[in-house]
Amino acid sequence: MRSSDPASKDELLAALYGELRRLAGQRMAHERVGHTLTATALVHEAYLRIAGDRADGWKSKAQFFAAAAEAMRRILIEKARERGRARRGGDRARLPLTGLDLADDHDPSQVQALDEAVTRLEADDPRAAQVVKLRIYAGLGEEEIAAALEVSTRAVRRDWQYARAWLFAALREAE
Amino acid sequence: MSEPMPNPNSRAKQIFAGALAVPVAEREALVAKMCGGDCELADHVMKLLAAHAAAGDFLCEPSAEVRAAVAATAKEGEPPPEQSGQRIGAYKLLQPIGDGGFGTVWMAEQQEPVRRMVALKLLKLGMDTRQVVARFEQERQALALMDHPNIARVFDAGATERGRPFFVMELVKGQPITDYCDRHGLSIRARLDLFTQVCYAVQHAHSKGVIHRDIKPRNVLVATHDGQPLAKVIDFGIAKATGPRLTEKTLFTEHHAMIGTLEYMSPEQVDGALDIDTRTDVYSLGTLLYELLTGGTPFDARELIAKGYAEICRIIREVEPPRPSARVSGTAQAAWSAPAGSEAAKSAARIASARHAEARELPGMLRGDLDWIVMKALDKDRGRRYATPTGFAEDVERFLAGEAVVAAPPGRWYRVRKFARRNRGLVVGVTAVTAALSIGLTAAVLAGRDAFRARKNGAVQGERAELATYVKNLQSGLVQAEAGSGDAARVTLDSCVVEQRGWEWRYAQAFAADAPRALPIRGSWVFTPDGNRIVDGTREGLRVWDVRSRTVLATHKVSLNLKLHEEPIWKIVSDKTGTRFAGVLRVSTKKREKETDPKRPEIRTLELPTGKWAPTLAIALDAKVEFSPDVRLVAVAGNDGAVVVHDTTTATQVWNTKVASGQVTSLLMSLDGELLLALCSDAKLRAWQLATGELRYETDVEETRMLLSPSGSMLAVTDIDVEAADGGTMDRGTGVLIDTASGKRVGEKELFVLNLRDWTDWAVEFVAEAIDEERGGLPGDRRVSTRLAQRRSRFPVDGERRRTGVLHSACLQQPVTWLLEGNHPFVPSIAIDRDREDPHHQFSTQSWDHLGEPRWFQKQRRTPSPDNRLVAVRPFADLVLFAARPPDYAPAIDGACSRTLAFDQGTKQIVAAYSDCLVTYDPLTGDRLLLGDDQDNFVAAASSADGAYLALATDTSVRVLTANGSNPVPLDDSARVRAIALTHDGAYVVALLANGERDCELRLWNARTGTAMASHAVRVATTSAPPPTLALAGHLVALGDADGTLRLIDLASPAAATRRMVVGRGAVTALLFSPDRALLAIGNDDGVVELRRAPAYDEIVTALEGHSGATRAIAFSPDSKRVFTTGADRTVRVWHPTTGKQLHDLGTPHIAGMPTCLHIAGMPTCLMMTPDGERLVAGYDDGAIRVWDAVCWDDRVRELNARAKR
Repeated sequence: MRSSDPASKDELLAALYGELRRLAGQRMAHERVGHTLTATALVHEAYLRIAGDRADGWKSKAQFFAAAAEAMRRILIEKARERGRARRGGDRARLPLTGLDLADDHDPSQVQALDEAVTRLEADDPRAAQVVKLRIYAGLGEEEIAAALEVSTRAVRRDWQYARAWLFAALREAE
Repeated sequence: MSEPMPNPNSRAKQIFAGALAVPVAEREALVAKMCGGDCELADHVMKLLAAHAAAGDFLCEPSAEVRAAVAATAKEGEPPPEQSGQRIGAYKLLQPIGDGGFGTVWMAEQQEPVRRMVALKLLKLGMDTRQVVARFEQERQALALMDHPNIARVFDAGATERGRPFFVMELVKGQPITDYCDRHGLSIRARLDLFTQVCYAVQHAHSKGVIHRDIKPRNVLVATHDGQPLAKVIDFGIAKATGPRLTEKTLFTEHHAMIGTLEYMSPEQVDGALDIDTRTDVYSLGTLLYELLTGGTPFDARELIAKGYAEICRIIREVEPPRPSARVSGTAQAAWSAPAGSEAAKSAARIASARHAEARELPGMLRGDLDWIVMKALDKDRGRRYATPTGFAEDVERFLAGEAVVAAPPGRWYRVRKFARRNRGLVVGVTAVTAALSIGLTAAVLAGRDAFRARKNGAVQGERAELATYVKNLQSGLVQAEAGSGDAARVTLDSCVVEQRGWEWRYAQAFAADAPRALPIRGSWVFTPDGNRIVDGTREGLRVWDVRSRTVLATHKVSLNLKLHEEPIWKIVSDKTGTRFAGVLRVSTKKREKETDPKRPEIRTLELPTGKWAPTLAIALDAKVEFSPDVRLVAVAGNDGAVVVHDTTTATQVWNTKVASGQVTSLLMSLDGELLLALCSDAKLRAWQLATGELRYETDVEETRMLLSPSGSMLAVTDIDVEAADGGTMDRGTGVLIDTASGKRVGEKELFVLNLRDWTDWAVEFVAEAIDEERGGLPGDRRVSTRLAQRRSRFPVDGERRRTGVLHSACLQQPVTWLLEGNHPFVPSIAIDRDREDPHHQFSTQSWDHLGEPRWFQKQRRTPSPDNRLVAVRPFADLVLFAARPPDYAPAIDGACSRTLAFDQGTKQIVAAYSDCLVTYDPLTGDRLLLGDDQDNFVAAASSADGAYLALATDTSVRVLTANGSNPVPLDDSARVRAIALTHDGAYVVALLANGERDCELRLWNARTGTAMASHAVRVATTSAPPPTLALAGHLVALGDADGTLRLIDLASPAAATRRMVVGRGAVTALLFSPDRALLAIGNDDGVVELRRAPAYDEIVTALEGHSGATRAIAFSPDSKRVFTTGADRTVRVWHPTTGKQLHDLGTPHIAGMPTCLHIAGMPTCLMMTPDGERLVAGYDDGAIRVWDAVCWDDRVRELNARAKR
């Protein structure tokens, strides 16, 4: 777990991914609508369970979150794809731009479109993309992101504002 | 080889960030400029900026996607929450009796096997129910064995059908122990008695093998039983069953609930230790006793909340809380320096009186044994705590019996050991060195300072005695000014001997000049347009007051034909020249105050200076009245749909009309007096030519309210109820924008409306500004921003110790951050950040809650004078005028640390060099602007004493530039700079360059030409933290070292003239030559600042002793007659240099009751007096800036006006 070779990282990610999925399912069995579950809570819980006693295996808690964000993202995409297939064979739907609050009428294509945009942003500005992932998939705050990426919180804010505008513009164009 | 091209995208990002930092209107120009000729790049950035503006709350709710994804996996048809009457197993829910982060507590009825009332705690979180129940089962045996009168029994645990775990407990009636003690006013002794009950109860549980793990006031309920308080500890076994992770997890889900728990958590719990034992409960009992004695937990919840999780954990693990006596004396001190009747004073008195003590006595009662008892229980090292709750209780009983207690203050050696444990590696290395050095050095330092003390006798003592009178007068003057007696304060200050007066005297005088003035005005009143007079209405007629002298200049009498029991209610308006005043007079009967039903309205008009009254104009009872700007015409709309315009001078009708179907719901006059606008109940907006009555247009509108933009060109109609009486809310809604002149719809806009009780007028303007801002591109833009600046200064702001209010626009955080702060009773505190998601949140938690001000204060209208010089409030019977002062405080910037301060003579602005950018701060308006953001990391910075030059060092370069950021002179591009200093005129600059860990080089340049002048190799104690400090006077360099030594090196002939001396016990932390070079100030880690005299600087003139923490920065007044110091204790002190007498303590910026966003949480890093000798400025390591101003508001208005003319 300590080494950075891709194999062990992937393995870990897979484990984390499984755990997060399980948690998400299990959580919902006990939660009523309007519950207080957040991305951070999920990730933290997964962290506590998986890393728990072995927390020292990670170089930092922040590094862990990067991996957790990735796993979280995969869950969401996979979920969205499944649902997208089920609904209308994966057809792309019109994307409303009034914020991506998917809680009410969850449209899987939005998640996919966002994900694709993030991937494109990554080619353009990797760090800004990283900030987006940590923020929206791992639910980290500015300071935590700054710690994870070892940059100042102002840099994180600048990246976030830039990335947000970038993604918004990209999604609007796609629409 | 050519340089690699910069990544075009990082360039775009940089330009984007730069553009966001300037006002909307200037962005395009800035982008064009920064992009050079690169149109593609400019287009790209403009596109991003447009997206930024349009993005709204896009992606701002990070959990939404996750929620959605999780929701997607959820089963259909989630069950509704539990309701009363519902059955859970053998229990029937009756009514909820408590709610918290954990879930809900219900009063429930057990029906079998026995019928009894129980408390049922239903957990909220979807935790692993099986495990919870299993863990509970493990402990069920032990819990069943517990049988103690002070322990609430736990009967059962289980899971609901939906899988939520629940616990069933004995139903206990009572209040949390802290509430009970306060409400019943239990004395310290009674509290200790009650506390021992709790200890013995916990001991009983321990003896049965049950650790509570979550002892806190909410889990210790007290009720009166047979006249005696009886404590019951509840929730045994629950923390264990829900697992140690509950609390950690709650941090991220139920933030506040978690903090409620964290305050009581032991260091080992925070560490996540697996072997939690009984001593954890001892620790929590310690926090409980701490709170019972002091009224607060060892660590303040509010402060904890502000920190991150990791920091909270660190604090609990490492930070020693203040001893109980220190905590209460801190409260008492804050109260003492606060005005009587203020919140701080009340809070201290409340804490003390609840304990049957005077605020002054309480610290004394706690000091000593009780301190040590509590601190022993709270020891970070559980091995040093009481081994058992009984041991704890017995020590408390020994105290009550007057016997010697076991607990004792920690010895010095213990503290050293504790330090060693935390910093193992460091200590081994350092010990050897210190052992050798410390004996010699410390002795030398102490001998030096003793010698100085001996010399201080004689002449100096005489001078100090004279200064003592001066200081006494100064302080009483400040106190008087603060209490609102500006006149008395001025008299007191005038008695100060002229020769002794310095900056602090002028500061006090400005403070007194700005002190509030009361006018005995009870009725309606209005400012004249120039702001110099006030006109008020009385039974006799109208009076004209001079604001400055507070005297009545004239009374213009008119017979109102009032009966004895009748009172006039005036509503007065003034024209723009201040020569015509009209009053709508209503008459109320005084019989019973509640029945003030105004009757008989009429309009009375007064011409000045003739004092001639126009004939009376009677109007209908419920009529809506609007005056033209020149008060010559008045429009009256009655309930019957009739609209009549009268000439006020003759009281004759000019024209009239009737709204055919319906009535007028809202009446407005256009700002130019051209149009009369009426919103009518038949859903039409009508506009008439005011002079002639010709109908200009009719527009269909659905909305019921209208607002004019500041320029008057735009009208917004909306349904938002801007006049709603419900204060403290922010409404959003759509407004339809209508061109005032033509009545054409031009668009829609989302409006933000703040309803702050009587602040609706402000809210309206806020909306209006939003409208103008939206129009963009119009010439109005400039005016809008001026308005913002004016508005900012309209509210009374900080006097030194009296906090009032500020409206900030922190330009660094676009689009606009609005903060109206203050804990002064006259100014409500609000914080709205339009860039953030949830204004309500900030609104409620940071502002109103903190104030606790009486409601009737909030009801007061605050009226700014037209010239923005004064704010009028009527807190009691009289009208009180406050000088509106600009903010003296610029809030923190994330990730920025102030490195040094300079002053731009041209623009009169303060320049702060941050860790990665330059920022200007306008002391007149409070505007803060980004000068340059090249994202360099400035490792060292210095400024010249005249403020004109800045020297900035990054890790690889040294530059000297003028204070406005221009004309950089590059000096070196390879240096590893550790410290830097400029001469007072900025002509020379010296830098300490590191060649190794200890080997360094001093290099001197001519700052104008950039030529290197001299270089000299030196060896320092360490180049890393704390870095060496430098000061420069001509060729003479003073180099302060971490080992407490000072070297004076003449770089003209370094070998010959290097002298080394020991100056302090700790590292040298600040160094500065006085402008006249007569003195060298040396700040030390131990908080003492030594002043040494020229030419050799080996003779100690005086030692400034007062700071309780390390010295952080030093400044001299331009005439070298005052020294200013600031230290890690966050105070800023003013000293007389030759006697070492402290003249004034500018206090700690941390003011009790301030909204958290405004605390200066940072450490001071730099200090500067502006070259005009008027403003003292401090910079903090969180980017905040604070200004102490010796200029009164009148002078500042003059300065502002002069600037406006330029």
